[in-house]
Order: sequence, then C-alpha cells, then structure tokens
Amino acid sequence: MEPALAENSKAHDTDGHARRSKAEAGDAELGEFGKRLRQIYQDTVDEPIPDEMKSLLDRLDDNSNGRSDGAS
Amino acid sequence: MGAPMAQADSSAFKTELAELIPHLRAFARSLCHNAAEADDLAQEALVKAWRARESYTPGTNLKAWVFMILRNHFYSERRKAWRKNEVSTEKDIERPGPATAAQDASVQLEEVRQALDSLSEEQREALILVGAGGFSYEEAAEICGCAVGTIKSRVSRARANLLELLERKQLKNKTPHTSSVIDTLMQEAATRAGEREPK
Repeated sequence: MEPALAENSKAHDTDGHARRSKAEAGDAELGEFGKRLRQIYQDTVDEPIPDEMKSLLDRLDDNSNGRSDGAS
Repeated sequence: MGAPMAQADSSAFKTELAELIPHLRAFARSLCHNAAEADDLAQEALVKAWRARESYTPGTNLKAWVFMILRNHFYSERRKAWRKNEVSTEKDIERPGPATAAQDASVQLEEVRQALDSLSEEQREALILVGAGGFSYEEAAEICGCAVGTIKSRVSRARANLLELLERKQLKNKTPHTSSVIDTLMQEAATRAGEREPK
C-alpha cells in the first residue's frame, strides 16, 4: 500500500482536526478510558491461545489450499 | 496463485502467523459480538492468510497484512449476512464486544464498551488499531484500505467524541479525576506514526 494515495480518495472526513484543543482540555477522564481500552485489548492478547487454533496451523499443509483436510 | 513457496519459507511464514494469533484474536474481538465469534473470525483469517501466502511480499508488514485480511473478511461476511437477512439493521449488528475479554470484570469495562459503541464503526476501528493495537497511522490506513489522513481524522474524531461523552457523564457523576493516559497514548501513537514508515 502506498501512503502516497492520501488526500484524494476517501479523505472526506469533516471536522477531524478542529477538536484538538477541546481534546486536550478534556483529556482527564479519557486518560483512564484510554488505559482501559488498551487493557481490554491486551487482556485478549495475553490469553492463552485455544488449542483448536494452535492445531489449525499444524493442519495447514504446504500444498493444500489451506483447508484442514487432515492430510498429514 | 503463484508458484508454491519454498518449504522453508512456508514454515517460516507459518511460524510468523502463529505469533500473530494473540493479536488477531484481540482485533477480532473488537469487531465481533462475542469471543467465540471472534475466534472463528481469527481462524478464518489465518486460513485465508495461509492460502494467500503467495501474494504476501516478504519483508513487508505481515501483521498489517493479516489484519487487513481479517478485517476484509469480517466486513464481507457481514455484508453477506445482511443480504441474507435483511431484517438485521446496522444498529442490531453494530455491537462489538471488546469487553468480552473480561466480561466478568466490572462496570468499568462495560463503560468502555458502551463508550466504544457510541462511536461510528470507522472511528472505533481506527481508535482501537492505533490506540490499543499500537499500529502506526500508516499501518492502520493500510489495514483499513484508506488514506493516512483519513485514519488520523478518525482517531481524532473518536477521541473528541469520547471526550464529549465522558464530559457529559462526568457532569452527571461529578467525579473528576486527572490523568491523561489517552493523550499520552495518542501522542505515542503519533510519534510512532511519524517515526515508522511502513516500508
């Protein structure tokens, strides 16, 4: 992907930047929010991977189209 | 499909995919209603990534590439579901459950979930990728198939919207506190976005 495809394509967002000072002024609570948001995400990252998912990769053999056809 | 990857490359690719599983699960969970659905999505993305491995350019960002596959798959499946079942409205479906990781945990997490629900899907996704997933703006743009400026704008609007929401709530609750983690978070992300070029 080219970062250079910027600006023209879908960049029709409005009012995206006008809020900065407001954001800075109000960062108090969002600070806590941001921490929790990251925590929620990280909690999942830290969860043990289900066995089913681990074994999925083992079942993908090099020639197959990826279906778990038990070809090993 | 192109020529088969060399065996060694294939197995290296598989190892790298395996390392991404926890992150794929986390991202999937930010898109799906529940953990089981999210894991299905993550598995499907893994299989798709594996099948498409010939089209991955070695040396480029594998994580962003697989996230893009996951995201595209999610939206295309959802479109199919819509077509099949027209009674579902966007409102019914738009209820991601990033909090399911700790569903038992607390009101706090429920609050985060509700706040995220209040964002548009695009803003939520951008905020999660950049704010929680640690992606640069460039990477997030690649994943979402849009311009870097669009991602920046979405993150910024997500933050502004959340602040408004939280301000309103704070007025109700009158429990001010003072930390600025998300600001730091966003600054970090911005810094990283500036430092790291996607290739």
